[in-house]
Amino acid sequence: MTKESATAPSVRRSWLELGPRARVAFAALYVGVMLCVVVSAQFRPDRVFGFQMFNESSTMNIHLFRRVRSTKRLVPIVNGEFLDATHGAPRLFRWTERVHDPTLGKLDQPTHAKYGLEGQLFRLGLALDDFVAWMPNGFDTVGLVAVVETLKNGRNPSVVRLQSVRR
Amino acid sequence: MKWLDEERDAYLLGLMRCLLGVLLCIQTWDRVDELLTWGYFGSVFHLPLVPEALVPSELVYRLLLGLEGVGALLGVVGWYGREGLFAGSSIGIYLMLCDRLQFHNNRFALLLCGFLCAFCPSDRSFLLYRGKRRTLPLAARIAPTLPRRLIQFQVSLLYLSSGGGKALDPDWRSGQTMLLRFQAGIDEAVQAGMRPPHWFVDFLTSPFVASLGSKAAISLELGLVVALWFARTRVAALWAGAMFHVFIQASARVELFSFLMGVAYVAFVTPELRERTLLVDVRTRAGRVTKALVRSLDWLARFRIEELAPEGVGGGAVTVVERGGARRSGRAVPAALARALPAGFLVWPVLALFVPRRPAVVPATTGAGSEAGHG
Repeated sequence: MTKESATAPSVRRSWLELGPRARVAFAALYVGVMLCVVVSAQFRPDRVFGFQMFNESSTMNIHLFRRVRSTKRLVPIVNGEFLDATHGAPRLFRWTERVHDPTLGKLDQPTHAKYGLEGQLFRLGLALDDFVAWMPNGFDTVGLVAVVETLKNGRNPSVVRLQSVRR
Repeated sequence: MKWLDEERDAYLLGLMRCLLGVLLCIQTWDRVDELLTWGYFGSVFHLPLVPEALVPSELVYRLLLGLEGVGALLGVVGWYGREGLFAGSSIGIYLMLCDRLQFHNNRFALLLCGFLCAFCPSDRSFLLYRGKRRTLPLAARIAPTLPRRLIQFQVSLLYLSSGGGKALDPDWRSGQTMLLRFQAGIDEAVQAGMRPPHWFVDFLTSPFVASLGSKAAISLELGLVVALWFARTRVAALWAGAMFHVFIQASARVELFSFLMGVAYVAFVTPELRERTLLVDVRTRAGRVTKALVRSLDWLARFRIEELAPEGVGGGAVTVVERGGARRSGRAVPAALARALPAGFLVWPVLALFVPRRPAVVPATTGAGSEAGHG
């Protein structure tokens, strides 16, 4: 129910109340910016700001490995954590210590690739870089490798390998 | 162009401001909850779209979240509500630019609607801080409403992008993507301890049904882009869109998205109030019940309620006079009410089936038509 005020108070003019010309300019600017944002989203791997809802039903299964100084073989990271040492002092590293994202944080289990495979692989590559850059100097680990089993919309199973090496 | 300088009743924009404020409060609280659970995003892996130097420190982030919440609350109560909504949504957009990992389409859409609503004259009604004087008189409510058209544009753009993206994807067109979504939904239901009947599982996991569902979803989204703008198709489009979002809410985790779209649909409702009349005979039980029902459920202020004078009694206990002047009585009344009351809108087409093919329509001499033909 509308309960109208009996007296007619003067309306406080908000600074958001635009004049006739400014209103039209604002509308034109908004439409232009939004069109640019949505169109440009198609060129971003994760389509952010593109309103692409439920764009894929793809899955990914991330397996992480370490590249260490002492061997050429890749060392698997079990349960997302590994022990490394510098000058004899051991330290436990956890993938989720640094990566809180619910999709990228899940290892060794098939996970829905929210916003699409391309987007998640793009983010995973940057997450590897971030983790390696964050690790203090002097440890045996010199890089991380992610072996990702992908299934795009239930088809075309493939394996993608991403790596990041300490520079 | 008439849209550029149109001046309409801003009552419903006040309702939108209030509801968007509520949704923004909930969204902000969710982010506070994420902060308390996961910690400050800036101290772990994050992906800013702005230069790293512009990413706020933890203290500033907490402060901004607090300001966003306060802005949303001001939007709810209406005291500097537009400014509050502007501040809240602007902060939300800025923080989203600070970490694309926190991006969600529904959150972005809410922030944009809040931002646009701040530019609408949404400070003329639902001023809750004023108590019973929460609505300004009609003369004070008439104001330029171009930004309302921008909210409509935003809704259409959202459907265009979502539907267009699916239409261009062969897996979506064929139904493969939807089939997997259905299967995942059933798996989740089973994991949650539910036991959907076999016939239902077989039905949902049929490639034919998924293919049909995909084509229907794409057609609906693209159809809404256009149909929401025309008076002849608007009410059907709003109903189809509402059903679509009810289905999405029930089958997927979309946070506040369905509620947001429900609020955004208010931008498509005819701004003018009480252009329909409900004539009731209060001496009858049906008349009294209908009057009480409409009074409590007429959230969009569609009806003017009048009691039938004793000499007017004879055409039934309840009569609805439509915007164009057509009178609905008898079995046509429930459909006429459901069409205009949000609480009954979803069942409107069902009730319309019970309307006699040739209802007693008596063109009235009064009653102005309006732009939308709906609402």
